[in-house]
Amino acid sequence: MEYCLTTNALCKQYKHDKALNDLSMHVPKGSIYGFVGKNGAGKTTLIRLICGLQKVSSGEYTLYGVKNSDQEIQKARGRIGAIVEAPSVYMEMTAKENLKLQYRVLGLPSYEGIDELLKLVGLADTGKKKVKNFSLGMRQRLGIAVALAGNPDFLILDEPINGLDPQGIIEIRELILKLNRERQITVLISSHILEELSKLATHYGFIDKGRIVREISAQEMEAACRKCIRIEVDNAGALARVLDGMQIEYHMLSNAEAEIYADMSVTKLVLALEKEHCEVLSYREQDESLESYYVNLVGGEVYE
Amino acid sequence: MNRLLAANFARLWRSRIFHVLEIFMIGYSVLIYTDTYITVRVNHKEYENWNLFFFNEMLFIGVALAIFVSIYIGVEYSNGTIRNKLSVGHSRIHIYMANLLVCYAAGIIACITYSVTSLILGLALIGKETAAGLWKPAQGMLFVLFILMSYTAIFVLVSMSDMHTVRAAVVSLLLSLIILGAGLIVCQYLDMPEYTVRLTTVVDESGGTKTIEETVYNSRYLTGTKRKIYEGAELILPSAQVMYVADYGISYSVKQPICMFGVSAVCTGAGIWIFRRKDIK
Repeated sequence: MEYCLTTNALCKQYKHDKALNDLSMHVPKGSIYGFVGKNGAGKTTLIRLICGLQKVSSGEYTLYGVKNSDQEIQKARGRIGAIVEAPSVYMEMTAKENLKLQYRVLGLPSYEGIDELLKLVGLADTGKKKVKNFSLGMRQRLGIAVALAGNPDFLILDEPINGLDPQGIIEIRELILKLNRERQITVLISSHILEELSKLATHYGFIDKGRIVREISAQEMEAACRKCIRIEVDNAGALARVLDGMQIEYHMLSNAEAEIYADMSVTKLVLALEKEHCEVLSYREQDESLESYYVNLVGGEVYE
Repeated sequence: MNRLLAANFARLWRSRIFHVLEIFMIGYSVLIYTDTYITVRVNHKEYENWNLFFFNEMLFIGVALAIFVSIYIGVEYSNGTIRNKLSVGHSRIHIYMANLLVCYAAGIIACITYSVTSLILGLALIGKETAAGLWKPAQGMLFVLFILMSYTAIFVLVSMSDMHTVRAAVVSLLLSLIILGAGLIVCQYLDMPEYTVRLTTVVDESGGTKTIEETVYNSRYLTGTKRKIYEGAELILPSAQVMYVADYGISYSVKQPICMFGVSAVCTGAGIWIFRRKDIK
């Protein structure tokens, strides 16, 4: 798999606080990478490092094959568009003026494409209205437009739906999906609004206490969160025979435990197992969402 | 860096604080020349030192630049737009230098605005005398550029080092007032004569009084190391150097612009060193 961003044992130490602790992550090209973690877990710190706003304390990251210690990293950053924390726009200017200024910063020869960008983010009709009079959602969309100036290959969005109303959240979601599908832009999106992320992400990275605790694809996540019955018995062989006989999809977790993926009669199963002299030790339904998956992953555990 | 300069200049033309600076310069010139018109044409007094008016804005340019630079650069931090420059791959040195150069240019433009307004008003209200005295101010132009450079470098250092816009503005303003006050004090002490004339009234033999004029040593006159320290301070304080162009008839040595350039270089070097190590939020 090709990656546009990888980090290896990345550390960021503030005076007495270690914000990132041996963080290693892999963002595949073309993905929408949901970067999940609590407030203060280190999401924004990582984004700041990637964007060159802060220096790495130790470890390294590679952006499009260029290491952060390489002089070429600044050139590689030219392929990034980013919103870090809040949209970075001039409040006293109009949407168009902001984009024109960003075009100058990027050294683009003409203002061609500005109208298209404004249309893409739904700000084509803002005219002479200054950004200070925009709603939060409009500012967020303008921030994305500014980040998209220069056609970046990799878009980094830090908490892009924070503070937005439901309509604003839908608009941003649709926009991100559109950019990923139509322009093949890789998106790293950090958020702690898990439900929203689950509607977008193709890959997930879970961060806790400055460290990635798990990286998983959306497909793997779907499998992990699939509704199932978890059953523990004293004879795994008998269980497998019974389930095969009933033509039920299942997955053996250990010599005593299995996950059963079907709506079925508990009585029928227990009676069938009884015939095989197999005792049911425990039986519970499992319906894991991204939220419960996340809570199980980081809640209360210590990763030292 | 050209791209950053183009962007910064584009922002400068739209910047409200720059417009305020320009309006202030024009307003100050109008005030000065209206007062001069009343003095010369209405009260029929004479002036010799025309450059006093021509470079009068230099007396407070430090304070004006402190406000302008801290707000112009502070906007980059408060709106977060400095992140856009960094995240697309511009180097910190280029970002710092582009900000410095644009603020420097703004200072020059503000002074030109004052001078051009002054020339027009001088010719219109007072007459050819103002133009006749133009040669001396013209000689001071180059020195003014060095003074502006040092002021800009000092305030860009403060503003680029502190991401907190309001704090940077307050520090810059206080610093500009301290520099102004220190410059005035230093000049005042260095200008003191070594000997002063003391007038004493005595009673003569006839019982009347007469005034005796005697030359006495001025005890406040600075000598030795203390004088050298004050002279050194005068050379590095832009506010003290301003006196040479605003009040002293444009007489300055080569050492003075060199010292102003030195102040600019040290401040810029320190500013870049701090900014390169700074964690931007």
